[in-house]
Amino acid sequence: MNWLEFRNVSKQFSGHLAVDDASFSAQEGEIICLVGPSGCGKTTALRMIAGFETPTSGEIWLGGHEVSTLPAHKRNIGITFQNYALFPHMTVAANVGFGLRMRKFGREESRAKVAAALAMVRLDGLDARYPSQLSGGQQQRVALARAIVIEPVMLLLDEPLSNLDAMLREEMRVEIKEIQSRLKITTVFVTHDQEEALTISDRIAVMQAGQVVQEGTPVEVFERPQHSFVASFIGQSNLLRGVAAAEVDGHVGMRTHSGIDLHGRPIKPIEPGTPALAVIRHSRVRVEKPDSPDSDGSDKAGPNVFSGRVELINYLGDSVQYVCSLGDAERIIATVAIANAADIALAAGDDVRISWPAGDCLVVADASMPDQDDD
Amino acid sequence: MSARISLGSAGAIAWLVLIYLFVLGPAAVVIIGSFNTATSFPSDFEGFTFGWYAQLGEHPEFLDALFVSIQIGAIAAFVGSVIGIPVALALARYDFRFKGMITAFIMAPLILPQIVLGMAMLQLLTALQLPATFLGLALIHAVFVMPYVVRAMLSCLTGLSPSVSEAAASLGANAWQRFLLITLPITRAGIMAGFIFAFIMSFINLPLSLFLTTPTSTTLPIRMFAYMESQIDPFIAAVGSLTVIAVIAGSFFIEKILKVRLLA
Ligand SMILES: Nc1ncnc2c1ncn2[C@@H]1O[C@H](COP(=O)(O)OP(=O)(O)OP(=O)(O)O)[C@@H](O)[C@H]1O
Ligand SMILES: [Mg+2]
Repeated sequence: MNWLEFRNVSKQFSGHLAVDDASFSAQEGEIICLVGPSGCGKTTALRMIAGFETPTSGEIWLGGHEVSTLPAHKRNIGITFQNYALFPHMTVAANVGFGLRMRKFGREESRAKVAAALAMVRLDGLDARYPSQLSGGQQQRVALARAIVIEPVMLLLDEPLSNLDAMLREEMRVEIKEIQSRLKITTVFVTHDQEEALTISDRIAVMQAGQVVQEGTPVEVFERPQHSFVASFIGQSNLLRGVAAAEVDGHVGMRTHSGIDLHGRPIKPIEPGTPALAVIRHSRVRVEKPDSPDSDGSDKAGPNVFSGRVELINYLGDSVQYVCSLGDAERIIATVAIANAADIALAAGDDVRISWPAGDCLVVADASMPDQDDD
Repeated sequence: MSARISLGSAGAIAWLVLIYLFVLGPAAVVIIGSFNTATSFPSDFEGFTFGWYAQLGEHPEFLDALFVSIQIGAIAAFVGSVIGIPVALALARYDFRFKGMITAFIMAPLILPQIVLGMAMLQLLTALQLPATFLGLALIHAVFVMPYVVRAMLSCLTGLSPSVSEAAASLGANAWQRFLLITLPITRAGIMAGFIFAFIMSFINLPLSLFLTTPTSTTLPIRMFAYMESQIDPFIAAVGSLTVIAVIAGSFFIEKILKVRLLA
């Protein structure tokens, strides 16, 4: 049975639907990521689970109980906020001990639990400091300790890493995951960073404009996007827009607006003539010199083989990114792993052969939506 | 330090001195006059004396009035705080319909001419067939000072994110515990500043009291006003000086010790 059930929940703020018939769920001990662009309703969804907002419609179930209208202070849920929200007038120890104080723990027991929680987030020795005397990363840790010390039935983390620098982010991400799996605490992790979502979660719910457009494991969401928004938001992909064509031996045909014909793998059956979006991950695109021999013996003149030109090369350390032009209007990015800089075989201005396997080219119905950057 | 004052900062200092002279100059004249041995005010400085202050002992009606003013100020500030603090919390935390209009309505006593307010209150009391009483005057002062409480409180609350109180809720604190353990201590300076500010505004108020004064509710400004109708002498200057010093001390405490910005 699912520990958390978010069932067809909507939240309306004076004329504006912040969450629109959204559903997702998590099993006990799982970590689920709500991921989506800014303003898509992640925080609002989290606030309804915490009990700070009441759903306009729909139900929220926690451990077999319907909690939609239960006041926040009776839910026993730990939460950290985008802005930490520590109590400025209390020391670190008092902040962490606040929930225990509300639960009427004895002084000694409380002190021991606070010490253990602070040790878990590696903040021992700072008990007497005030929040204003801590760095952002330290404040985030205090907030985490404060949330877990009460042994909540569920942990809600609202963009816990977004205010940290790149190094600390990585470190905290690993730590949160460790603490979460050690305590086996069901967790909702909100982020707008798809990479963060893929690495930390057992499940992902991708949100767009208040709706959950796809929910599944990271692998499902990454490899089998059911929706053009998911395809473009998750992973670093080339996006080509066009119109679906007839099916050819198992693959769907598609013609881009710039007139390029390609073959791809449809996630769902797609009607010829309808708007379609082709999604090809940067890492699945091959770029080679036009005269290079075929390593895998595939047909040089087959589908999804095009000639283009390298426009720009981005050196990324352990990979290199070739930004290529294809035809008049399309731009294709290929990311190639390299062992060292000597492996960069191409130069800007080179004519190249660009190809990708039809199986790695997803073709999804193009739901009308604002253009998304294919970064 | 003086050697390093640039032309610009010298100009700024001169400007400040000018402003202080303009604002505090008249008060200084009164304070200096209160130490003058001359028997009229204003007059040339003839000699220094504390005598006018000592005379306060011979005017028990001023001490009574002072006592009334303190009581009324305390009641007004207390009632104003009890109403004003939740109002400020609601204004800071919630968005609701007609918020702008409601805010303007709550703040109205700040800008309404006090003569009009006093008249309106007198009418109200008459219509309700309530006699003008000590308590009535105190409550009307409370209505008048409440916006000052709201303002002091709001200046404290703008920096306080609602999620701080929500964090406490998630940790098991009910509404009452959140107010007592989180909101109240965090906004303590604002509450004290609001109380003192409200007290001062009641303490120095003349127009409201004029309409509603009774023998048992003669405030210090009313007493001074009555005295000055017949004569102005260094004695009344001494009384005035004491109130000025008390008010400046209160404002200084708010701005420097509590660090709450009232004006600006
Ligand atoms: N209290 C509120 N009143 C009115 N509108 C609100 C309220 N809270 C959120 N909204 C609106 O609901 C939408 C979703 O907001 P939400 O804070 O849930 O987004 P988010 O996904 O958390 O974004 P971010 O990544 O920027 O934190 C936004 O358009 C926001 O303006
Ligand atoms: Mg948010």
